[in-house]
Amino acid sequence: MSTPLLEVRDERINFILENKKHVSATEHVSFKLDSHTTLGIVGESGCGKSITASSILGLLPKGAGYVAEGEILLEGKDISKYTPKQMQQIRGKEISMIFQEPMTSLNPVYRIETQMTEMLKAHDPKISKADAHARCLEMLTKVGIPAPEQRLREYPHQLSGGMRQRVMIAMALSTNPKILIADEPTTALDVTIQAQIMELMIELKESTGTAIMMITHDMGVIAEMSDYVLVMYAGRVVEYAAVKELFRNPMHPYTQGLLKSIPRSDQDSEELFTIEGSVPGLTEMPQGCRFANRCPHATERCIQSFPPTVELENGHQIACWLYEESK
Amino acid sequence: MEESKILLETVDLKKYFENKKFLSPKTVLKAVDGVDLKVHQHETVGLVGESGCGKSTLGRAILKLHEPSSGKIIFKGSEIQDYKFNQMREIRRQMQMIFQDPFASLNPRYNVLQAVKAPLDVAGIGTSQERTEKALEMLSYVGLNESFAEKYPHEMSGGQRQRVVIARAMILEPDFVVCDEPVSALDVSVRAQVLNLMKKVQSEKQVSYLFISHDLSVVRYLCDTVMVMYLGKIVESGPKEDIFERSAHPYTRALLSAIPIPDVAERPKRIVLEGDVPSPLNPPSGCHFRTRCPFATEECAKIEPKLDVLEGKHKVACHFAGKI
Repeated sequence: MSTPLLEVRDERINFILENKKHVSATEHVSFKLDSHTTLGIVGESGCGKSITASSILGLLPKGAGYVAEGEILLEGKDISKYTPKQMQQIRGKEISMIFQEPMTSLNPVYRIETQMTEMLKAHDPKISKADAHARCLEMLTKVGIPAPEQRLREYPHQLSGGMRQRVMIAMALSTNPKILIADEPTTALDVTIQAQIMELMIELKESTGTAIMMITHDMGVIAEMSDYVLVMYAGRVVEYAAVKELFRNPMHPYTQGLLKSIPRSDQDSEELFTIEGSVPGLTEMPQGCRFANRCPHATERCIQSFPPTVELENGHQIACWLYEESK
Repeated sequence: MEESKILLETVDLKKYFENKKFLSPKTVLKAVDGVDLKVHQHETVGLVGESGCGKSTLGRAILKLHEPSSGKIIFKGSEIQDYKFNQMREIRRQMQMIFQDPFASLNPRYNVLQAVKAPLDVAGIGTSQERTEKALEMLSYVGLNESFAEKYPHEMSGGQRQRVVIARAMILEPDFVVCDEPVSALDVSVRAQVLNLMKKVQSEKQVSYLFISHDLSVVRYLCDTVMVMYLGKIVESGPKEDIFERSAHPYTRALLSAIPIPDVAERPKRIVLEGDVPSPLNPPSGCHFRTRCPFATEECAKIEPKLDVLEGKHKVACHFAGKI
């Protein structure tokens, strides 16, 4: 078997609280990502999806969070132990990232061209002005920005939200990265603009082969964009499957509840299913299954210990005691 | 819904914001540009549109949190658009509002009980003891037991805070509540809890909601009637079934088709609209939607379509309604 493009193995991220206590924010997170595929990571706020992405790029807040255990393998090399200097070679060149709010990711006092060129120069100091300009133009055209020549001379505030996100995508892809991490890239946008950006990302993935890691809380975005889905809950991976398999045959009680509790725009529903209670806090994580206190099928065993991950023949993985016997 | 009375009506309601800077040319932003709206008793009217379309301004103008520029607001048969502050105070007991961010709409120095009791204190209803009892009763009604009474907003989760806000809005037993994106800041599993609560409150307390949202799936779940807004105007309105099953305006269709559906079944090709919403400071002539509309003709640039009846209660503002 060939080495996957990116593999995260048994990762644990710890946070240091104000009282100097170390608590684990995520535990035993493992997944693989190959080129030409989109991996969707879905979960509610605080489930650890964003920090998992940040940890890959070595962007955990300094002095507050660190990777305590596990490996992050980029083409077989463990990058979790890289020095900040080595990471700089990875960030942007091998792995790029786009964020939720494009206004805060762009510097308001520099023109679009200055910001895009800075990125190109960081990875190729010898690039000539003319080459950089040509590359900027090419990228803006690729992401569907009309009148790119004029846009390059403008400042971020002169662009609309959708345009800014397109600029971010253009910047992220201008160095031909192998992986693009997108952290809620469409959440701050209107639905009609969200549709445009999703379309664009799918198109770019197909033409460039860049692997995409798509972090979102929206099951709809997951269904339309991903090839594989990782469902996270309270810092643990609870389910992993190919997208069709996950939506047709969700197996973890949390995934099942989540899918049933979404109101649909394409059909009427009488009363919404609800998952009672709320997510446990960082410091009060139960020792057993973290979903046990909200789970309709919870037993004594669920409260006692965390279930092992069961893998079915079709690659569907579930961390739940319900499926332990069926193995 | 046929027989019930009209609770609130607006006639040609307008809210313009003017730029009055010295020496600079006067610009007018027509945030709400001539909206006719009817809310019947015990009805939920959904108001949907993208950011900047004027839906929140309309909600606020109805409660006179923004002074309307012109038009009429008729609440329970009386025209309230010219009411002064003191007159509005009486009316506001019957009209409440729920906002998007429950953290921002709760005073961090008030505990839950104080927050929920505050409307009763202001209205001067009953003795202090009675008010406390009523507040506790209301809290348990929204699913928060007595242990929450002494808590402060920062000690609660988003869903619990939104329950407090709902309890506070409902304690004066209003007839009409404007809900401005009440569930947008909440996580999926918590959102379902709050939506079910809002539905329960409505059927048991017999209130009417004006439910403002950008999320059509939430609107489909909660609302009876839906109005779609684009650049300050209503482009389509009607019973929920007409809007979701037989939408006639190209904008409504595009909006519906743009929503990602949490399902992997095959679905018709998505209509992706070109470009962005034009600036409301300088909207296109004629039909405001024509710059993004795939069916636009010269007629659309010259003549502004009126909101006309297509069939029954289904109204559409498009020259080609029913033909495309």
